[in-house]
Amino acid sequence: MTDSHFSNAPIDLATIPTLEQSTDTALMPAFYKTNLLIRIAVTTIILSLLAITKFELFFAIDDALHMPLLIALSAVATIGLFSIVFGYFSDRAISYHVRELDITMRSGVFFKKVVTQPYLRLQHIELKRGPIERKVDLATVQVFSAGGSLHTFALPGLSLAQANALRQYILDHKDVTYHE
Amino acid sequence: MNNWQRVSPIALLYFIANNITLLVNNMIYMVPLIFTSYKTISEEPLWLVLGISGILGLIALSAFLQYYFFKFRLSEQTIEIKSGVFKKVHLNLPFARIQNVKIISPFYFRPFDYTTLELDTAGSAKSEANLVALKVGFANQLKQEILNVARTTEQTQSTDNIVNDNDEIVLNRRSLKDLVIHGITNNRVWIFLVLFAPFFDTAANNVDGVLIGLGINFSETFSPETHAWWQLGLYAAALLAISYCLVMLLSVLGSIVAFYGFTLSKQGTNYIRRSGLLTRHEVVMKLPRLQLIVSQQDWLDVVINRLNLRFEQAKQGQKKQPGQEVRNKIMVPSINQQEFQGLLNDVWPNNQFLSLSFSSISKRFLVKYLSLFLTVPTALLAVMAYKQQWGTFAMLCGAMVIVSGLIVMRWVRWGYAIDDNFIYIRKGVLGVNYYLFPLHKIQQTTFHQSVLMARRQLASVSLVLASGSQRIPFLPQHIARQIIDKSLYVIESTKRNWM
Repeated sequence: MTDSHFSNAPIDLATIPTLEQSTDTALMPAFYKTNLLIRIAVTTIILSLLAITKFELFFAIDDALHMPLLIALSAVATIGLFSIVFGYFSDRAISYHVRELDITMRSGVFFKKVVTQPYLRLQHIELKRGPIERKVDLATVQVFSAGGSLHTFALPGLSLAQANALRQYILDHKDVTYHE
Repeated sequence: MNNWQRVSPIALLYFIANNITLLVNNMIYMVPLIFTSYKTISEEPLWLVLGISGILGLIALSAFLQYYFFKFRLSEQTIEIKSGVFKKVHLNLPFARIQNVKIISPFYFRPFDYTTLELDTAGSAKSEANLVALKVGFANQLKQEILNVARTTEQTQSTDNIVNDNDEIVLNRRSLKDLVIHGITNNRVWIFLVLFAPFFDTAANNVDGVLIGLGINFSETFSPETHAWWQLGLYAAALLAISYCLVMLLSVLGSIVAFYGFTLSKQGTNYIRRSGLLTRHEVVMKLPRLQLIVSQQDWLDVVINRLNLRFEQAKQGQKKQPGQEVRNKIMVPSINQQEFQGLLNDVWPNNQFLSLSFSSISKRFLVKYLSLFLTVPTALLAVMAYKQQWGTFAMLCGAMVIVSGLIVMRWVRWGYAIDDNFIYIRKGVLGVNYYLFPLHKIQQTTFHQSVLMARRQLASVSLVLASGSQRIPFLPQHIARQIIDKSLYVIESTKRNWM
C-alpha cells in the first residue's frame, strides 16, 4: 500500500513530548464542596434514621433488635466518616491537563492513575449533568473511544462553560485520519 | 433485481430448526408443567400424542409463516429485508455500512447447495441481518459485491490492491491429525456442552438408571462397608482416568466438529476462515479491523510445541452476546512455530517478534503477590503448629508451595518488548501466551502507580485496544512513561486510523 503521507523516519525518544512536562489544572472548587456536602448529608440521614429507630420512645421495639441496631449505627458511622474523609482527598487528587492532541486525567490517593485519551480515537463525546450538578453549575465531560464502555474517559468537576469549551475544542481537533 | 422476492423454500428447514432450538432452549420453563401433568399423561397416552403433534404442527405453521413473510430486495448497493409475522421488521442496509460478511452452511442446507449469509454492521447488535437459504453461487457473488463496495469507500485512493482481487490464496490448512492434537491439548468439550446444554438435567437424572440397568450400582460399589479403602481408592482412580479419557475424547470430537476442513485464506486484504463438520462457517476479516494477534499455548502445547493463533477484531457494539465473542475471532488451531511466523509476517510484515528479547517485570511483583497470598496461611500454620495438628499443617504447606510455585511461574512468564511499531507482551502461568499489537491501534493509555510502587520507582501500564485492554505490571517507572509517550506520539503524529 502506498501512502504519500506516511513516513517512518527513526525518532529520538528524548525529543517526543512527554506527559510529565505538562502542568495540571485542578477541578472547580464547587466540585469538592458539593461532593463533601452530599457525603455528609447521606451519612447524616442514614445515621439519624438508625438513631431514631434505636432511641425513639413512641413504640417499643423488640429487645433483640437493640444490639444489631447499635452495631449498624457504629458501622455506618465508621464507613460514613471514612467515605467523607477519603472521598474528599480522592476528589482533591483529581486533576487534568489538555494538550493539543490529547487530554489527561490524574486521580487516586494511594493508587495513582494517569489516563490519557487522544482525540483522534474519539467515537463520540457527551456532556453529562445531573440535577445537583445543574444546581451548582458543574458538568462532566465523557469521551467515548472504541475501547468499550469500561474505558470511557470521564472528567468531572468542570464548570459548564469549561465543559462546553472543552467539548468544542475536542470536536474541532478530532481530525481526519488516514485509512490503512 | 428490483422486485421483492422470497428466498427458496429450503429456508423452511432453517426456520423449523430455529423454532426447535428456541423450544428446546425454553424447555426448562415447561418442566414443572410436565411434572404436574405427568400422571395424566401416563394414564392418557392419547393426550401425549395429541400434544406432541400439536406442538409439531405449531412449529411447522410458524416456520411456514416466517418463510412466507421473509422477503428481500437488492437495489443500488443496498439490501432490504422484510420479515416478521406479527412484528414486522423492515431492514434497510447499505452495502457500505456492512462490516462483516459470514457464510454459514448448516448441515441441512449443504446437500441442496444452499447457504445463509450473515451480515454484520458496526454498532448496534440489532441491525444484524440473516439472508436465509441462498444458492451458494449467488451468496458468494453477493458477498464479493458487498466487500468490494466496502473496500472502495474505505480506500478511495489506493487501487493497487483491487487488481488481483479475485484470486484467493490459501494460507493455512489443518489436517485431521492437527485437529486431534488440538482436541487433546485444548479443552474443546464446551462445543458439546453448548450443543447439549438443554438436555443436561434429564441426562444427569437418567445416568443412574442406565448404569443400574447395565448392572453397575454406584451406591453398592462405593460402600465403605463392603470394600477395603484401597479398593475404593483404586475405583476412584479408575473412575477419574475413565472420565478424563472420556472428556479428552469428547474434546477431540468437539475440535473436529468445529474445525473440520479448516482453511485460512487471503483475498486482497480480506482473511477468510472456513471450517466446520456439520455447519460450515465462513468468517471474513478485513485486515484493517484486526487489533491484536495472540499466540496461545497451554502447558501441553508447550510440551509438544504447538500453538493457537488468534486474530482479535474490534468488539461490536456495547452488548455482549454469548458466542459473539468467539465469532469475532479467527483462530488457527494447533499450528507450529514456522506456520505462526509465516502467518504473522503475512498479516503484519514489519513486526520483529522473532528477533526481540523480552524484558521481564520487576521482582517486586513476586513480593506483592507472595505476601498477599501467604500472610494469612502462614499465621494459620503457626496456629496449627501450636495446636500440633500436623496433618493439616502438612496439607496447608503443600497448598502454599503450589500457590507460590504458580505465582513464581506467573512472574517468570510476564515480559514485554516494544519496537517502533508494535508492543509485544508475554504472559501465562503454566502455558505461555504472546500478545502483539501495533502502537497506532491503541485507543487510550493508563499509567498506574501505588504509593508503594512509587517508592521503588515502579509503575504499571494499561493500553486499551478496541478488542480489550492489555496491561503490563511492575515496570520501571521511566519505561512505563516512555511506552505511553511513544504510543501517544505514534497515534498523534502518524494519524493512522485504527481500523
